[in-house]
Amino acid sequence: MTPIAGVRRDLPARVGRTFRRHTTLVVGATILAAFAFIAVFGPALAPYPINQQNLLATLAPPSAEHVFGTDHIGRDVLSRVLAGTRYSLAVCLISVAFGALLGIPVGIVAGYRGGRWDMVLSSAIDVVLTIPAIILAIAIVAVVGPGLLGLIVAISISYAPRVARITRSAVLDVREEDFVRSSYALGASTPRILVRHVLPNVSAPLTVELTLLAGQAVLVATALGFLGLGVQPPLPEWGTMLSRGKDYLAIAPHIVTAPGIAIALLVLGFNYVGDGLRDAWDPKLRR
Amino acid sequence: MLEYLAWRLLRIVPIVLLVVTLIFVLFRLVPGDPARLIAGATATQESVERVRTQLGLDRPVIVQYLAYVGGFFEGRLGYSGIYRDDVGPVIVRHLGPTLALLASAIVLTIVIGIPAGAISAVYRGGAIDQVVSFLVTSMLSIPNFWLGLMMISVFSVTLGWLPSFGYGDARSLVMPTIAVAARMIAIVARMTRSSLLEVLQRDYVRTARAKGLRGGTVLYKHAMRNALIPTITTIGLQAGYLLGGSVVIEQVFAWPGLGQLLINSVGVRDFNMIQSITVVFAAGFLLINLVVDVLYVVVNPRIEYR
Repeated sequence: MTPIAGVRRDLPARVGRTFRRHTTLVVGATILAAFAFIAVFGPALAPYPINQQNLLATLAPPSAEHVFGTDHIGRDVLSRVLAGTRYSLAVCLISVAFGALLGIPVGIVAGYRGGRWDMVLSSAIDVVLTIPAIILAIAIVAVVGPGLLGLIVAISISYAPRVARITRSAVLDVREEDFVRSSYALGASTPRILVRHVLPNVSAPLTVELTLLAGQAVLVATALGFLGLGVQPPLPEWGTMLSRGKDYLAIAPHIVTAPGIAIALLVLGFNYVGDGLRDAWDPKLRR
Repeated sequence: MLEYLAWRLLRIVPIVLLVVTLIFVLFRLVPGDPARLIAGATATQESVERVRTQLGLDRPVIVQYLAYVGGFFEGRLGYSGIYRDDVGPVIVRHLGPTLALLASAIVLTIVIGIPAGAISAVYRGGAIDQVVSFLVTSMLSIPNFWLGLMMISVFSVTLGWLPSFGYGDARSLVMPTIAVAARMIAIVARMTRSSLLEVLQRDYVRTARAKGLRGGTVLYKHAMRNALIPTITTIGLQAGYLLGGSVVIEQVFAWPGLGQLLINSVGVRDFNMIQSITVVFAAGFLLINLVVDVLYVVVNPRIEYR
């Protein structure tokens, strides 16, 4: 046993141990923190104004002035990638939040009430889940119209049934626990049981899954941008940038390099945090 | 077995019916007058009205719904103002390239994903395991359409080995297949690895080893068969990534399939087409899961089909 006085002295060692034990989590959290910083200060960090055209230097390859080169109308790619961070991050966080707001109550009712409620709600969830997420999102964008709002509505609705299904199975696990049953026996009201006992105990698996879903939401949002159905130009959204860059792939492949790396890193951050949290909270599931 | 198949196919019908209903309700929410949308923005009020009566849009919603559902099961999927034809034949014309792409992606997923996962489980912690796990992590983060663009940049533009777009010989299938399958390969490899690792610790595997059976026999006859069950489940559950992925990848490689048709239809607001394609993809998902159920029985004879 380490004496208590030694705790402070061992701080670097403890930090080191936490890092070794939860490497994925720490690396993932660092990546996400970096993106959050860029999302807030993106335009200020950018070396050039995002819409400043330089028609004398279109499609310029990476150089000292333009680290990731310039696009087809001479805009600095690095500046646009930095400034675009906030759109991708905002879209994925807002859509997952709305998806959770829609899906969690449904999952709780299905899991906790059980019986006929569960049958109806679960069947409804299964029906929606037969439509692949991105195709449902495309159909919803077709109805709502492309743009930031359509994107958020589309991703929230296509992810709500996924959240509901995850919540339901987590609630099913907790429902039969002694503390829930004894609370019921003591005459606690259903809302009280749900808020005080069920919700706190499903929050860990839900946080893991929502983090992983956020990463997938980035992929769907940028894919829709790439298909021309997401954030519309001239906003510097990564998927939209890739879509324009595709036309110049043969002569200026550098245009598509930076936005693609940015997407992959952001998704990697979410995946690492999700996997890391799962390992930290449930050592049995460690792979 | 045939009886089981027929029964499972039959069970798909009500689910498709519910999907059709869901899509019908969703597309009722389109703002604006559907008759005007079909007739075109410049059409006179008279021709808008003619379209309305022709397509039965003046009838009560419930009658329209019943007609729509009825039509679906008779193979009449509605009229496309863009193609001036029923939606059905247009979809059938675009089905071939998408089926070719999906089939080859599924084959690639199985041929690469399962062995990769199995090898990294057997040599757990070794160099191969590390490489596989790095590739799996990458493939789960990299957007499939960007992977497609990067492959075009390297293999078409720089090296000139493969065509960068179009639908033709087997060579044109290579890059789209990899781009569609990459994420599924990663998911399958990861699942196979963890389920095989678990199975290898079971008593019956130890018994088989103790009996003096050779390592290969134990692996194929005892361990793999059982480890494959969660893998097959995963392929069914995650089939949406293949179907959805094909839509995006078709756009990257100008692949003339259902995905292109869908995106073009969104562009010109051809709603009947969008609705039907969505249902076709949902049906595809259900059919893949039907095949998965049949595979269960093949892999594990203990599972009885009812």
